Amino acid sequence: MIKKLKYIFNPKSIAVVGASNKPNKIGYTIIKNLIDEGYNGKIYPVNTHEQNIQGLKAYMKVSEIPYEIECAIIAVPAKFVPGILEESGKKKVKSAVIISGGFKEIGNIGLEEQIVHISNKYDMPVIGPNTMGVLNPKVQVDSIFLPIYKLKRPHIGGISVITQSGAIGGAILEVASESEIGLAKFVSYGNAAVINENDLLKYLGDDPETKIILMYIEGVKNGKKFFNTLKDITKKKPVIILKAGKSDISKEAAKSHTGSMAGNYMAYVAAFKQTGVIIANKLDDLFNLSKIFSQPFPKGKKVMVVTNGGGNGVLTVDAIVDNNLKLAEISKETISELKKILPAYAVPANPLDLIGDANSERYRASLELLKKDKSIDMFIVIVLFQTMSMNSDILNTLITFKSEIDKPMVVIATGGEYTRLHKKIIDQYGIPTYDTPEDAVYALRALYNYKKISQD
Amino acid sequence: MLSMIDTFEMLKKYKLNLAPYSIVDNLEDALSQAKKLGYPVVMKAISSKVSHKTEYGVVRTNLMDDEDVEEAWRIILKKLKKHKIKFEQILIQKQMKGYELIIGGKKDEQFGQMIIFGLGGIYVEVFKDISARICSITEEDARHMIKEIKAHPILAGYRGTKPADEKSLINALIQTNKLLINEDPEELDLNPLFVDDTGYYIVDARVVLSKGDNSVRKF
Repeated sequence: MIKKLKYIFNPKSIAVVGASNKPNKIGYTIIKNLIDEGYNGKIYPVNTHEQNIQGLKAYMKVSEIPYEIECAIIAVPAKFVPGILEESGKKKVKSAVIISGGFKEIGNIGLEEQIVHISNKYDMPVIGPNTMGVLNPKVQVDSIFLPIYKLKRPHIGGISVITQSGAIGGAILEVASESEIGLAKFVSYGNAAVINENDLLKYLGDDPETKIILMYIEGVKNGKKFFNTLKDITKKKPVIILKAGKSDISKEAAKSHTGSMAGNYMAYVAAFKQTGVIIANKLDDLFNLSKIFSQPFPKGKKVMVVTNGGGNGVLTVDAIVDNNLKLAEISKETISELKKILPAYAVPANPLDLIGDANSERYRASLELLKKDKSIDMFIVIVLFQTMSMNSDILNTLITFKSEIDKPMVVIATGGEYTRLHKKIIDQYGIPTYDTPEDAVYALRALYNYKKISQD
Repeated sequence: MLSMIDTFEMLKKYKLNLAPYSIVDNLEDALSQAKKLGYPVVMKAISSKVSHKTEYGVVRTNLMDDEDVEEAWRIILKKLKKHKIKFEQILIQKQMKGYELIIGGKKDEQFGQMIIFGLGGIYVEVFKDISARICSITEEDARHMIKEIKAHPILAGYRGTKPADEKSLINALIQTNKLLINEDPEELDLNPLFVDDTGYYIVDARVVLSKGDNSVRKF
């Protein structure tokens, strides 16, 4: 069944059951999104009353469509879903996405069991029910029922997203499109009646277009299977997981110290550590961590910090210590060279505080010297864009420097619109930028950790 | 919950080191066993009613000689009477020294057996300084678990104290891992477990076999 997931993500033809001309219907938005995004396969709207849906010929029933259908997107009230799925199975529809809610999540277990039964009978993979949908920007497959004018879709990229929650999925899409982060595949898997997180992980683990997998989970169907799949996939590509439910309140009073301390979240964290998963602690971490993988692996743990603001330098050192990385000890030679180019009131050390009056030339000259220092494994460059001496020339300095080194480099900059504008450009040139020292260092540590996992 | 004797037997089966002990039911035997184990010793009442022994004052520690043992015997009997707990037997254990740790196990509903390691003793639930892994673990996992806890620098030898025998702790974790996989208990505590530069000794332990097991551990 996992192999057949290609029909979910890459269908040549889609039937939309519950397609509508009424803008307040989910079936309206899905058809409109497919048309507007330029899906290049065939679209077959199914509606029991109308003959024409948004300019496309509509059919009364799935079975009346005289063509092959690779995916049926179903958005009708729950009670009609098993009938439609059965009909689709008979017609040899290759896969289905059930957007409709009203199943197990509200206690309708019997209705959901019918779906499982039909899916197995016809060997037809089903996503959902109760899902926000599937997105594949490359072929404009889009069953997400949020209108495009409200939620811009991300462009094509290498990150795939698997989410248990539709709402969190929406937030992830919003962040991705706002930050111009490209996606390979996106799937909200809802109740996971048939296809669950483990199947999706396996499929995307083998998907050549997926370079990094991001997951949001609240729980999994089978922990042991999930453990084994993760162990396998993390060797091939980074898997970053945000697990909700840290504050698990045990229903049963524990009878031992271990029982009371070792909650279910701790088990997940243990499993993640053992399988090489990169742990996201908050929603922002998902993309903060994923963009670090544009960088080469560091040779070691030693970090060089260059800044034009003392405070941020100190905070960065704290984060380096907290994350068990090390400050690089720059050579005597580098120090004496730095002395020659820096003003007398700047101390050549690590962190290297270029002082608030530093311009991009001072950054350039310092970085040029540091480039040769073999004691450095990675670079953190902090830029306060707000100072009087700082201007847009710094972009050129940073981008040029990055192109000349074979080491990971990140930029930390905190600020408003002016800062954000510059950061966006830096990001686009392949230097990950971060708002805070904590986020930047956590990402570098994740990169360092993943080096071992990928080379295992 | 398994009785103390059954618990100790299970730990022995997996070659886990117990602090040397003896079980007696009269003062005369208590005195001769104490001598045999070597002072200082600890005495604990074994009762089917008492789980948290320290709260009832039926655990006496730092017993240095015969006189101490005699006094402890009297006190324990008095306390049992006061709390209307029937006298059954008394455990005499050699008093151990070193760092106080915990090794534990728990069956997680998703991932199955999970093993934990951390700071033990009476502060265990205050500091919650523990590391965890899903079973089965490797020696490398065990090594990481020991290094992961915040108190690790203390184990590694702090301000001139001798470092704990980490090799023996790795062995304890590996043996516990075997026990967890084979016996599949609901919960397990090896707490406290004392370690010094020569090895580790388990002083107390509890095993909850299955979910429905609501019996109080006989101690």
